[in-house]
Amino acid sequence: MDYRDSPEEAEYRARLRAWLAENVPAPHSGERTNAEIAAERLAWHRKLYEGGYIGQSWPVEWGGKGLSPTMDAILNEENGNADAPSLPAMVGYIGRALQMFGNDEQRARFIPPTLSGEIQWCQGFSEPGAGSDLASLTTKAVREGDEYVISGHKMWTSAGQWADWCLVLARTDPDAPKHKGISAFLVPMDSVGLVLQPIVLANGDPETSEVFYDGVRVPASALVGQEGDGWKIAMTTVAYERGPSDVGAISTLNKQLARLERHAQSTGATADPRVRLELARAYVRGEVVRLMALEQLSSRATGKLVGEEGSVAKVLQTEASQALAHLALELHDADIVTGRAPDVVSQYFQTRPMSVYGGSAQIQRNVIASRILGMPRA
Amino acid sequence: MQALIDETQQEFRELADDIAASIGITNPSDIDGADPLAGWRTLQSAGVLELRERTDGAPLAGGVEVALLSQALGAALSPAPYLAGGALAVDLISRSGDVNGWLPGLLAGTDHYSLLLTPALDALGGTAGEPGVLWGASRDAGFAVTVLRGDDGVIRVARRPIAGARRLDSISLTNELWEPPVEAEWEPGGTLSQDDLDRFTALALTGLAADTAGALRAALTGVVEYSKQRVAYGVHIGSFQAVQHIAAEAHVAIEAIAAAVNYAAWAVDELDADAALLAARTAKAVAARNGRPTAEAVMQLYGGIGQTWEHIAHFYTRRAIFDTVLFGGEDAQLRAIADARLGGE
Ligand SMILES: Cc1cc2nc3c(=O)[nH]c(=O)nc-3n(C[C@H](O)[C@H](O)[C@H](O)COP(=O)(O)OP(=O)(O)OC[C@H]3O[C@@H](n4cnc5c(N)ncnc54)[C@H](O)[C@@H]3O)c2cc1C
Repeated sequence: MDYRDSPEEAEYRARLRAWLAENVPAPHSGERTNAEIAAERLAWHRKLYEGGYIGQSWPVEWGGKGLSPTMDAILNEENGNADAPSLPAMVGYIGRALQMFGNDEQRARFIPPTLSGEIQWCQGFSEPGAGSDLASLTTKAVREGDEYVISGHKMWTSAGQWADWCLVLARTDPDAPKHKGISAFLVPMDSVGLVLQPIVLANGDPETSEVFYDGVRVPASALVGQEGDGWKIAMTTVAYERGPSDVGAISTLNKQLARLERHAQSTGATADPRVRLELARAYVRGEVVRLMALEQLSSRATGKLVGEEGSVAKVLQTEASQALAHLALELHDADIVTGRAPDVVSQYFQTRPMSVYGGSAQIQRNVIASRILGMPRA
Repeated sequence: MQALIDETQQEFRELADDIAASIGITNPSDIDGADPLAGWRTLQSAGVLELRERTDGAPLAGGVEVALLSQALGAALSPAPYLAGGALAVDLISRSGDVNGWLPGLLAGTDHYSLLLTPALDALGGTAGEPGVLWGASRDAGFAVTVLRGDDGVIRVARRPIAGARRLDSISLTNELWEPPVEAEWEPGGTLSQDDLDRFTALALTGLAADTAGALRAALTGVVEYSKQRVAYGVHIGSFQAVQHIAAEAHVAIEAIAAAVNYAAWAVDELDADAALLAARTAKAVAARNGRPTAEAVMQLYGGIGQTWEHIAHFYTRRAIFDTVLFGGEDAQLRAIADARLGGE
């Protein structure tokens, strides 16, 4: 056990810090449109890529640097400490799915532009009738010659309007047991027959979307893995989606806590003993998420695949983010009611669906009970 | 960066689990008339009393080993006062250079040491006029140790005999507390730096949090097993989602403590004293916040039987509450963390 940076890690951290000092854009003040935020994220993605920080822990043959997974923790910590824009999340899980399950041709074609940010992805799993019970999805893909024809209705395709491609789950075998008849496809968002309708979330932003597939034709080469591999691919994707470092959650938590501490200091709120307790509690919650992620990344470094333990991290990460947002509401007082702290309000609403997406808080508890604790099925 | 225990530590953990299981409690009746020191010989001959003995400035074993053993003893509900009378007493005396040669008797298992705490149990005590409480005593023989701060600001370890001490009704049936005798003279020992004292406190906080994690893990494992056997409405109670979610939350709570304890245990010797203490307070804050509620959840899942004296469940709850209060509960840790991060008030 050694939480200290190894010489390579220390060198990496120092270089990263210097790079961040040069490259982090000045923080924005005031309100921004969703498109501006998306553009800022994309610009930051490209910057990070140019700096060599995207996909760094991926194998060299697939455009990565083969660095230890623990470097991702350092990237998270430093990105947050530098108050930089968010780390691109989709690379960490949809990109992973491609890297793990795609064939060589798909990897060669998609991975480099995915890492560079040229291709932005979205995840087309959920449907109006298939959220928690994802395996009951009914979007179908029918093989016709060299093509698959996809028809159905997807919900909650986040960032769909900014995305170029989508990883879509569709049923290829209606007769197979429900988990077995699902396949995964790579679908261009500008396909004929694909219609996207933005969904505006509670914070007023169209962060996600519903997508209609009306006989969308993709070549047979769009299939990832074999027919019937869809469930396995989806579960791997969500396992990474639950990792606090894979989606940049540690970075975000660090950054938001530091901002809130500065705010409380500037208003004098830190003279209030209760505020001090709550800020310290927020720090403790963030530390637990960080340390849990370090354990999980260290375990990955030994070659272990991600598994159910991600659900524990997801629960803690969700609680930490939501509690921090509550505290931010409280510390901004009347400003959150009078419209003078729009970022804080938006941030608060952004933390609410954390306990819904990537498997709801209840689903994570189901996973922990049945797969980690081995409790009997109902 | 390697946030997992290594192979040697893994082996130590297995040893610790074996030792703890051999000196633990499995039934409430095991505790009746039991001598907490019954397991002391086992600990002594296993060589774990000297883990914190320092030769050439470095302890024989790091905070990680102490935490692993504390966790194992917590899980086994061992009444042997290892943390106070073994690890912490040795750490304190050894840091002071053991100028009077107290350690050989302690390490041989012949002299027993306890720590004198403040009446609030939140720190080492021993200032004039306050009787305080002895943690780690198991009979009215042996010594109490504490630290004394001289008028010159010099911190010294000190001991005095505890003959005539009186056993208190500790909330934990597996952790005794004693009231010291009417004041005897302190025998001063070697000096300690503030840095030493901070690291000692970090070890105490981490050991207590580890003990909580171990106790809760054992409690949860027990009730999860029970949930696979106990039947209601024709099905195992463990198949009810309401039951599963309580258990899942308990699991998350315990994993949170464990992640913070691992880091703090490593930090005791490896980071600056300030950072070590911050890590330890973080671990203790998580343990204090999650300890009692998690133990209560376990009692709840046992149903009526879990509320009875004859059931082991309340032993875990009592132990968790004990661990929580010693060296300060959640708020005390959070106040100190806030001072460290936001500047003192
Ligand atoms: C902001 C946001 C972004 C999203 N992004 C994406 C995306 O990019 N791609 C994508 O494919 N999906 C995405 N999702 C969808 C998300 O994965 C689903 O919303 C989620 O799985 C829950 O499904 P549902 O909304 O159908 O709710 P339901 O499944 O209908 O659940 C409703 C309630 O019932 C509970 N519940 C359901 N089943 C159980 C059970 N077995 N045990 C206990 N409780 C249960 C749930 O916890 C929840 O509280 C996103 C969702 C949101 C809100």
